[in-house]
Amino acid sequence: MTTTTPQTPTVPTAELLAGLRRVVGEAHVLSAPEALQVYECDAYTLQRRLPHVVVLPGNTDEVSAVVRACAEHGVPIIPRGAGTSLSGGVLPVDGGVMIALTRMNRVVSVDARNRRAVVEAGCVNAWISRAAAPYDLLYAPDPSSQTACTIGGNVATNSGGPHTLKYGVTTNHVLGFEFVQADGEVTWLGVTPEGGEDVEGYDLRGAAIGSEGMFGVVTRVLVRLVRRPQAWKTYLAVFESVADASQAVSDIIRAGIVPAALEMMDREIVHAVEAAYHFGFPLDAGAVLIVELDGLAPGLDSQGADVVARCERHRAREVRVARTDQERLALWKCRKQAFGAVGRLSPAFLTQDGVVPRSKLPDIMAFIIECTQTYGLRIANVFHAGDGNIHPIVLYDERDPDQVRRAVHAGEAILARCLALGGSVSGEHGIGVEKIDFMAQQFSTDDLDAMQQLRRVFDPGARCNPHKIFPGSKRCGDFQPRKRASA
Amino acid sequence: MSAVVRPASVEALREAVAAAHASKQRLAPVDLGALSRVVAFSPDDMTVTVEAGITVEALQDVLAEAGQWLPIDPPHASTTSIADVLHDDISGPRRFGHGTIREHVLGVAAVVGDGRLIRSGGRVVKNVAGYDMAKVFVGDHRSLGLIVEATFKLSPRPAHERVFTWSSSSLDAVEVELARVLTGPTEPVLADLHNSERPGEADAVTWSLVVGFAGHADDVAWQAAHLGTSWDALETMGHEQRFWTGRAFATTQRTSVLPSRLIDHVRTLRPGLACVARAGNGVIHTDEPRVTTRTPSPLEQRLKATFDPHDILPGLS
Repeated sequence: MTTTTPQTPTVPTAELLAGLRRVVGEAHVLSAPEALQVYECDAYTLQRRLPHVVVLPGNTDEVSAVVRACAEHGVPIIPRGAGTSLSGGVLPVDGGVMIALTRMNRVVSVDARNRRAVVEAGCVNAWISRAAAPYDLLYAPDPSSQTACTIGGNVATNSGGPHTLKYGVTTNHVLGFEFVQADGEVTWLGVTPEGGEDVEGYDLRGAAIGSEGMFGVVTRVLVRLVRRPQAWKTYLAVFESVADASQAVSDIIRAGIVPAALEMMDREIVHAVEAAYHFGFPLDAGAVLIVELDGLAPGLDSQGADVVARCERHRAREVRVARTDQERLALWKCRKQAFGAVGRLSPAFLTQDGVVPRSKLPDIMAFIIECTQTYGLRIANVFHAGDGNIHPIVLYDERDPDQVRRAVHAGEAILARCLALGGSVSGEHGIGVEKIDFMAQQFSTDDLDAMQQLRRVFDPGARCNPHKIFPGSKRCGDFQPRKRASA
Repeated sequence: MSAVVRPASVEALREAVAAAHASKQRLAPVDLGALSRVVAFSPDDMTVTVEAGITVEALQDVLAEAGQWLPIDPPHASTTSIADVLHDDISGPRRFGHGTIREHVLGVAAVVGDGRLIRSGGRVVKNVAGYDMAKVFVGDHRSLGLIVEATFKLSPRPAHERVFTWSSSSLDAVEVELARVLTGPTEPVLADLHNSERPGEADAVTWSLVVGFAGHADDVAWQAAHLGTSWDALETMGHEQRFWTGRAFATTQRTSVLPSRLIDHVRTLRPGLACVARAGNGVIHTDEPRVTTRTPSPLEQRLKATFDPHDILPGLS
């Protein structure tokens, strides 16, 4: 049961291509190699493969017609948003027809009274909050890539972000969605735009969120909006060591304070971010914590004082508070663009994603420091400390095959330790092709079989985004990272 | 009629289900009373793993010792198990502030209709490894499997909570006041509408709004002041207890509409029909037996056939 039925790599025929062109128009079918180059990988660049063809439909009917045509020809389909995923979730392992949703990017409607919005799948995450802002509402999940990533991709990976500590992840904020099944049938899962929030029957919405595009193509999404907080208090606490900062995190959580966000950056990241954005971070700090409280104004001052006291108890050298909204936004810009700034530290890097129980944060951070010695590589850390969701960034030079190997092994060692500490090999980036080998460590054969069965309920032919997640999946021929200019 | 199955262990339950599957016989009702341990409670991680037979009240008592709670408040907490809450998607008034059980579940272990034990999710607060299979069992009315263990994300117990009520015989007036509260700057954790206050005249109906605030003392006081003097403080949630006395959540009719259409829906109810509405959510519980007329979708039917191929568990309703 666990092995995927081997698929014959099916090259789209001239007939299928002609059919696709009829559906979406000549201009929206890409098949020239140079046009396909953009689609050879996502933000996980260690494996690349060109799709046979990329189709850019403009509406649900076109998606349905494209999917139906591919079903008739037995060709794999790979739904794709902005390609910001970090685990190869949209890699066309076998080629096939990639369906890029980027033209379907509208905010269709905002229902302020019921705090909902309908958006197309290719709508960029940050655009939802922008459209909701006039009503003092926002869409809460805010991945660091939120100015590029799409809501459809967020649904596929059940994306998180810094503010999920208090607000929850995508599944807590996506009420329902329109969905094109693998046979082209259009259906709506979960809450409908005009319907009440309790839906009878199975929660197929919840089952499909986080299925990494393997159940079908999301075309339209009904999201929950939350009220823009009345007030914020955003602190930057400076520590001598990651260990001290980790203890402060535990102490804040244990006190029953639920910050909106609780983010850590280590010395490597602080240096990169400071060089890029000149925020004024102390370059000699071992770690900095961003602690953000939000909510009603009256109680924030005393909660804030409590946070400051707890940071100081764990030897914070300094705790600054953002005095203006501009300062707060500048701080968040640094945090969210930290990955981009890493390019200043190294020509190439591998961003890992793992989770440990919050109380094990000091253990996993100590292990990561150990790994820098074991593997002889620098590892920078910027992560969601409040959730126990780590993002070690392994720095390497991709022209040196030995460094590439060591980087991959360091990442794997860290994930294995996350599992040993009772955690998970992915908190928000997904399994994709990158972490397939870990699935058998985290789940039993029966668990994995049940997941395969669930997949086949939605896609009996296993043609939708094949060769992801499951052990035994077909791999891209060679694991051969190409030379590439500095990021 | 077959007796109730009272498995002493998960393995015993697996055997009972596998036997029913093999003989293609309906499984007798299962009592998980013997599977009611707290498996792991880690206050520092704010997560708990329990056997599904534990009652909500017993669980909340354990969590309270560490100043935490699972933010659900179903009726009949002393007799309602975690399995009940999950399979029947049972919720209470505070769902307005905290959501329903599916927002809090991190992972489950369930024995599906062919006797296999399946685990999904995990014990950490963020986890996207594998499909989120736990979700298919939430609200499945035990038609796909039987949850034997579940892990939840916990919240700090609010330091303070205050509840207020406001009554009128006019639904028009209720609509205006409700909109004022829901669109104003306060952030209630509960916002109910009910008709259980008995007015003086025999045929008049009194509609009452009940609104509650929880959290930091300063926040609660500020919000209470914002409600205004026409609201009265409540010591207990009497309306909630009155409505559910003698009624079971799973067999009582529940209707869900857009929150903005709640009052319009309430106007269509038969005069005198007892109801309690989660006004902020647009969910109305009425004193009628639950009826469903929907036909499961092809996807739902395939899911049922996949995990309960011999139909030994209750039907999908």
